[in-house]
Amino acid sequence: MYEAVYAYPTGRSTVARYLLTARWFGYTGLVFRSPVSSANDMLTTNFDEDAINFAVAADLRTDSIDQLSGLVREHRHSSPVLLVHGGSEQFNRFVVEQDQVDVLTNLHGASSQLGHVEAKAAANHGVRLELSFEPVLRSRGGNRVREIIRLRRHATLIKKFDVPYVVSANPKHHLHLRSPRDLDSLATAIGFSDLDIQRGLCEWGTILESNLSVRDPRFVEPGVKRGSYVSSGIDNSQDDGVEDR
Amino acid sequence: MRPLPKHLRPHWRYLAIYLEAEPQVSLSRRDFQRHVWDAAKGLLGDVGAASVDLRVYTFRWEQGSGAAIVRTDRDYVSDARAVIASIDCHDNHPIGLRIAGVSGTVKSCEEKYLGRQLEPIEERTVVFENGDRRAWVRGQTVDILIDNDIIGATTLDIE
Repeated sequence: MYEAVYAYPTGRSTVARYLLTARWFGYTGLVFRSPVSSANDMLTTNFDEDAINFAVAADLRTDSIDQLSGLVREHRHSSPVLLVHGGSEQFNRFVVEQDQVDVLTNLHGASSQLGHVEAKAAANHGVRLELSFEPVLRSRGGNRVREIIRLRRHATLIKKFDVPYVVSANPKHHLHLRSPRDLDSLATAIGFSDLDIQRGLCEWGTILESNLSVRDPRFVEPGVKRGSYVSSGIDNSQDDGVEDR
Repeated sequence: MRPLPKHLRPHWRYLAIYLEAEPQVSLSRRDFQRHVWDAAKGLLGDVGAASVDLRVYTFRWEQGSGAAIVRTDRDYVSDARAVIASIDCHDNHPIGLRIAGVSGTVKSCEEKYLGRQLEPIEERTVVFENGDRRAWVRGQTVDILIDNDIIGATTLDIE
């Protein structure tokens, strides 16, 4: 299970501190959200990589569709995960129709709009929607009530149209991390008993795995890769053994 | 209130919780109980908070780190977890919480889940981002003061 976090300088904890804390909470990996305008120098560490996986995701924030197209082209090949901040209805509709985008984030707040048209398009193009528990955890009163209503609406769309989704608490500090089991209990308490929260947390790892396998030099197309039958464990001495399906 | 006969009393479960905050944060047992009740009322409402009936049973805190045992009704453990997870900050300083486990008795809760000893904290000057900074070091973790803000780091990040 993975969590997507903001590390220093965007957040208030370094990469190593997050990795140390996340290991204790039982996460198998972390995705570090990096706004493309900020320096990525701090997003490196000498932490033992065998202990926990991590990757740096490009976090694209813009209001302009033209600028977004350029940013997606520029960052798709260099980033294992591509995130786009949500905005107006028109902007979100454009984003969910882009096959190259992995996750549409920041779907909370009054400015974010998501309807059934966007949900259907996201399902067709494989763009995940982010269910963020940040407002539930870190706001109170009327703001929290409004965000819970918005989250329930998004969950209804996700269930109805079978939209892929990711779950995150959007931590900006290592003290904001919560264990997967506690997030599950929180989701049940606010009415998400049908939604699989742990699946949403694991989906980050699925995105990483599929994007990194595409970059493998042996990859040809989904389900096909170069290699020999010997290395794949299939014995067929008659063939050249170029493809395995 | 007069106690109920033993066979009518509710069954309890005890949650072992590790707490963490910035080193200068002072958190008392009363403060934590107040946060627990406010979180329960905010998340579950008055009725839900009455059902989950959270009480801080034991509490210890020392320089930004501590542990507590919170009692809850056996049938509302999941709601209790949600309430504890939603406790966010104290005096505008973030608090980290981790529920280490749930047990039927206080003794087994302490023995199984709260056996970890708190390491001593040391205040000293470290080099971070090409400058000398005031920091608090506890084991592998380092909390560094930069521009009135505490940044969480580890001994791998400092020079």
